[in-house]
Amino acid sequence: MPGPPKAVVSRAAPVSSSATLDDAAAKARRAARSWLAAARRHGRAWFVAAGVADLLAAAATVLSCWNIATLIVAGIGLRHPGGLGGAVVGVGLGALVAALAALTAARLAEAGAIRVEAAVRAGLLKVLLLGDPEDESVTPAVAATAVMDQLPRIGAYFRGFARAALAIVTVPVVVLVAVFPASWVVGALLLVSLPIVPINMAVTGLGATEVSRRQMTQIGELSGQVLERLQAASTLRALGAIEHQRRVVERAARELARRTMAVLRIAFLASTALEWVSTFGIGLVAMYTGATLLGYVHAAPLPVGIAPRSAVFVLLLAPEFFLPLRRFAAAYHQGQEAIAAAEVLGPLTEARPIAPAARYTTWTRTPPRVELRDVSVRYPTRSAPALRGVTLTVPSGNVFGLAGASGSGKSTLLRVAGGWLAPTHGSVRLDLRPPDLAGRALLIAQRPYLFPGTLAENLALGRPGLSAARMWEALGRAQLTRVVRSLPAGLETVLGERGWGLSAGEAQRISIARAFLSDATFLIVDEPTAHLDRDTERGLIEPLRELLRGRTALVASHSDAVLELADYVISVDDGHVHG
Amino acid sequence: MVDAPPLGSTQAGPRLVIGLMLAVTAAVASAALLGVAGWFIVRSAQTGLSSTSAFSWLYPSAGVEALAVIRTAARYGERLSTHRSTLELLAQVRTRLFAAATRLPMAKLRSLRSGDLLDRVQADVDTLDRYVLAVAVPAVVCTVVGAGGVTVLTIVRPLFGAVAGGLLILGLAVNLTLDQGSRRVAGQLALDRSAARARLIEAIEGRAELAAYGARELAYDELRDRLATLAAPARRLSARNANAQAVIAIAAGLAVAAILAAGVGGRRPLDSAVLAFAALLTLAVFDAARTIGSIGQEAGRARAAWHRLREVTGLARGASSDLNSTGGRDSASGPGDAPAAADIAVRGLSAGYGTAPVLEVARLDVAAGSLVILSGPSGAGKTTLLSVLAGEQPALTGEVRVGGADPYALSYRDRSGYLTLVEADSGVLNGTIEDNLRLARPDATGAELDDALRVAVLAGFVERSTQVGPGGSFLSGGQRRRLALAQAYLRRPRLLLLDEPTEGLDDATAVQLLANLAAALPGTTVVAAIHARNAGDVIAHADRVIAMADGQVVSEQLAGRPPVGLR
Repeated sequence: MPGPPKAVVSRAAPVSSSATLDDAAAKARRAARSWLAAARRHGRAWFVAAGVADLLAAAATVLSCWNIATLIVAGIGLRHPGGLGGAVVGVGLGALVAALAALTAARLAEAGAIRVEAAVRAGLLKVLLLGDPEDESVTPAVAATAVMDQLPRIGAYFRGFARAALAIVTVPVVVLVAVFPASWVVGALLLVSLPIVPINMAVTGLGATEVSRRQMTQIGELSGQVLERLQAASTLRALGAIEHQRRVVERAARELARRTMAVLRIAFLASTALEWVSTFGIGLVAMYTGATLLGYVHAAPLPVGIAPRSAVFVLLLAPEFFLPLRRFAAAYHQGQEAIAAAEVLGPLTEARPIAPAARYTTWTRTPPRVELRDVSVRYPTRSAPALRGVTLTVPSGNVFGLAGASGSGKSTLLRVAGGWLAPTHGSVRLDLRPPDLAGRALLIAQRPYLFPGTLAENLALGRPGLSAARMWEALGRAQLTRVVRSLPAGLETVLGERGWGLSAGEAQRISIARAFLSDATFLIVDEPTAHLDRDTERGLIEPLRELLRGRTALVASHSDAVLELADYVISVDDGHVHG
Repeated sequence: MVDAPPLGSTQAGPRLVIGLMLAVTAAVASAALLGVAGWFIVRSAQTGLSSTSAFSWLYPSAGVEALAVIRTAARYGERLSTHRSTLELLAQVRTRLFAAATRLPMAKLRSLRSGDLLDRVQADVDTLDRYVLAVAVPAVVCTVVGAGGVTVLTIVRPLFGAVAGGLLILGLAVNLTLDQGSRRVAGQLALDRSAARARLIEAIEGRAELAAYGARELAYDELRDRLATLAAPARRLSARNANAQAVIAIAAGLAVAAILAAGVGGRRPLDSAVLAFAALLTLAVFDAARTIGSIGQEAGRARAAWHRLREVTGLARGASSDLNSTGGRDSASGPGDAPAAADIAVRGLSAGYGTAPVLEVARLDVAAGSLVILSGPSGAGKTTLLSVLAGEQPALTGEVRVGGADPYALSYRDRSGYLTLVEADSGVLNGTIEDNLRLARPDATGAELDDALRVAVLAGFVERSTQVGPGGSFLSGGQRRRLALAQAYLRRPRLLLLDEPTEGLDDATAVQLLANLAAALPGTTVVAAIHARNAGDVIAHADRVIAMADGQVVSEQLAGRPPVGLR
């Protein structure tokens, strides 16, 4: 393969060998388990009802089996046919009740799982959409994978695995209660086989969570890679690169298949072991009862004889005894996948506080006075502080320009002043109040995000029902009237992804028009003309001047033309400001 | 099933056949196990009672254990091979779908949201596994075990076969009737799910804007509602599964009850051991048929997903043939197999979307090796003309020839070997500058990459190892533009089509850049669309300037190009 781009196919997660890593993994697994247990409460009533229905189904099956046994041995001559009509009805009725009870159990479990999913999803969406917008760990691929791919695994867990795990405890009890009076030896035989389940699970399940985790990671990896390449598809095509990128995606897709197979292999091994126990158990019951009936079994002091009807009855019940085990084994990988998903979703939903809406959209009626007092910022990843004891006051309605080289601390200063980043030391006040209460600045970003949809929808962001007249007015102030009139459908023109169809300067002016429609009294403007040519920049100066009038603002720029809009220009250098 | 998924060229096919055979083996062993065990016990009881011991305990019990081993082993093998082959097929389909999506006609590609395409690559492809695991395997198992079991029962007593076979078919018929419309439900579900995924991705990408304009709560409510509506059809489909199982279970109960009643009562009661065998065999046959109950629904789901994939693959012009033929040669193939020269000839062209042309060019000829600037305001038709010349969009009427060939008729491979179009908003992949340069030429040497950076006036601003950030966010707009041109230069095209190559650059850099490109690609025809406001000094260096307005060529002028230094 000629020189594949680096960092495109993820390497398998390193196998943890040290004790601390193992401890961390075990801790994460425990946390995931308790998170799942907490999630269960949203549908507890349904799950309990489903468990009861499963018990009822087991009892009805026992009834049906008893009647089948009655009918089968009727011809042997021990019992003379009499009341056999009742037995026939019993077979049918038992099967009917069992089927309906199982159906009810499935529907109840489904209803509970839907409630759990809805509750978790609401929490997840809150974090993703209402959490800190600056949190860089929340990428589109992470969000889409969490909500669309991992969350359904939590639902599947409660629909399948959790129900099977409950049935494995309750149903065998019902069956044993019926078996013991018929043959205590068979009952004991079945009872002895039960502990094999946890042993089997413990042995095969040892590495299963790690394997499932790798599968989860790869789902996200594939998702991210495909999304990025689809968004750049026309460029890849123009460069003749799609054949090569196809192979990159193919590798990721095959890796996902490989890791999924690793999960399934463990699950199949576990379920085969259980099926083996189950099938072997049924065979053993058949051999034992056959031998007893033939009179081969003698255990002097103990009563070991068995009536033919009881023999057929216990043989019919043996598969029923093992059925929940087999169901559990079949659902086993759902459990592992859910724990791996919970390890991602748990920390995602718990660790982050919800940022109240008011923080972003509460504006003081008059432009605020912005005060930074002895503000220092130190990023955990860097040794040198980004800001060192900055004290700065922007009077109400003033525009301050920030000049300074890249990396001087300009962006950090903007983030602190805008209220998006808490200072490590010192304080930020808007009219003497902290930004959490007073609201944050409105950001005019270097690259505004425009949503796929109509131009009108983009302008009316957060204000559905905004009149066309007000939109045109804002467009006029942003000097966009002519541009929008020339668009094929005016305000209703559909913009492609990321505002496709508009030039960079036009997109920037759309974001300014949008700002005119907001009540914001405090603006942060970050390099508004950084990637515009001089003529386009010139076209932006007047709209910007109009926007900044009567508002408090901090404007960072390299451009003299933009800085001329400021009442006062300060320069930022190595975390200090100079007036 | 008309739309069956393609079977791949790897071992997936044979492995699938093996899996199906093992599935049948496991089901047959399972049915035989129950039947034989029932017969064995009753025979033991009869023998024990009559005390004429003409019955060996050993062989039947050994048979029972042997069947137990066969069943377990076959089941394990079946699951491994069917799942493995299915996953292999899905990986292939995923890759093909991605490749097809990247080859959609440009207008279609722009109109599809990447979140929607991603949903197809992930969720819809995942759903295809139903074809194998929930349709093919149960269908084969049920057919073989059902037919075999009913035949055996018929031999025991024709009535038994009729009862079991009749109820089995009745159960399946009831389920298939109930399953009608599940394809529609599944199709709607997929549509809604895909829209929700796209909205979610967009809301996260734009969440800073949503927060700043107080639109987060609206977006949250909308997404919560969208996702909640997905629950209802999903629940319906899952309820259908449970119903189907219940229908089969009830049919099984009725069949056993009827067979027992007929075997015990009546004028000639059946031998109890044979009756036990028949009853347990019946139960086992219906047990094998349990999974087939939802076959209609599962097929509906898979077909809905398959239909959504076909939408993408069907739209990608010539995608499948290209994909199958190129193999690994595409990246290595040099420029120009089909068109040899680099001249352009346009006659009576009209182009646009739908019926209303947005571009009309009566006649345009460009000699090979010249540098032509299309100038004009936004909406003048410059981008449309480039798109037509690049073969991305067809001419509504008239004729377009590049190097004597119709660009729209060229295969993707011939086209990308011959010409390169640099769009106004070219994409960047997260990684280093080098990673992105190698997209254009995977086998380029380090020196060639450095040379490309020099030609694009990027040397000194970025290194090959510079990280570009997600979507190129660490680069300035001008740097992204120049990176796109460096990539285009690495392609060494005969025809280079540039849309706003100088946006975000100062005049001196813009002039330098175009001059570098012209010097480094002698013989290459360059057509650059440059907004009048950006044209500045660049125009002076072109061979020709074609002014456009309102979709028409309004004037042409030969520009005096300096003879030295720039060419």
